[in-house]
Amino acid sequence: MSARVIFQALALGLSTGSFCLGFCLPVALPVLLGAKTKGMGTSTIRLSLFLFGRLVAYLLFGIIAGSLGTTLAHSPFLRIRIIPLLYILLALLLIIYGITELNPLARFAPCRFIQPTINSIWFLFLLGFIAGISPCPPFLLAITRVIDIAGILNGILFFFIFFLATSLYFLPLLLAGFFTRFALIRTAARILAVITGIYFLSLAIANLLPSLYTF
Amino acid sequence: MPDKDNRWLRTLFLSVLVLAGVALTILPHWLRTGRRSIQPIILEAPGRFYPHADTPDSIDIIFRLTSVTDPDLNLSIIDVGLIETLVIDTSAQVRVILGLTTPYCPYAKELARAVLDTIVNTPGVKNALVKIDPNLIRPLR
Repeated sequence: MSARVIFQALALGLSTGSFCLGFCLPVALPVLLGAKTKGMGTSTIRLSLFLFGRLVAYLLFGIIAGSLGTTLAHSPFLRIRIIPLLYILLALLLIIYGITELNPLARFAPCRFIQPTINSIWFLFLLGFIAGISPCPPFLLAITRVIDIAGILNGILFFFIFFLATSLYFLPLLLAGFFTRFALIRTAARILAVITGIYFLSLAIANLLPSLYTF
Repeated sequence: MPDKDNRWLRTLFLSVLVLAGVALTILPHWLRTGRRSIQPIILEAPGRFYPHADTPDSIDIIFRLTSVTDPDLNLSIIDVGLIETLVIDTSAQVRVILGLTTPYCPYAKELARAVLDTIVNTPGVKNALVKIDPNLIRPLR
């Protein structure tokens, strides 16, 4: 059974990894490029923390989907109400991340107050975690499979392998460490973070509005 | 003057970088997930005219819907449990809410069309409305 679970998770992760990257890239790239790093080592740590956040989120969902089944993981409430709220949270974090370092806002006291928190490497873990629990289509497919195979251990194993397989697509982001030495790229990344935040905000509103329509 | 030129060049380069970033991150995201936001599929059609037909009952419609199969599973949508709600009002208007077996099911519209065709061909139905709610996921166990 375990070999089957591993193979299925690996196949799903490898076949849909580009989809995962497409979902997480708008979150990861601006944040990875927005801060000056000391070479590839720091860049690797930063990317690892983002991925670790995703891993924690995946394992959490693996446990929930494996133990509770359809009752929670596929509840309409989660998809209709929680996902837009997660998008709004992501949007706010990205906008705050972007504007706190952009001139002339960076000089204001509130921005200077939150700069250490926003620039902390644990901020990447938080973003990774939120990006991880914001279900994208491959993630929902993984949940569907975990519900089918049932069991907490199977759920954890499936999501762990799924995470490893999808993380392979994130490896090119290690190159971010090379580009962060250029101030112009860091500024562009901060502006991109704000644009991405606005984009996620618009997606959240677009997802919330149809759900208000009742049959 | 060189400083001013430099500033323009810098702004231009920055704009190019931001646009490249948008093209690299937001565009693929929008193409893959943004366009496919959680939207229900709603189809509506008037029923066929059958003279002297009585208002249909739910058993009759459910019986007819057993002939509609999920194209992927080749099982009846009744057996799979996709029918979430079936309402027949006093004016013989039938409303059905369907779920899906998997998120982003490629057969969703095809399924809605098949259900609608079956209902409108039931004697006595004045009007039929079928809604597929993509938030209702019924994984096959």
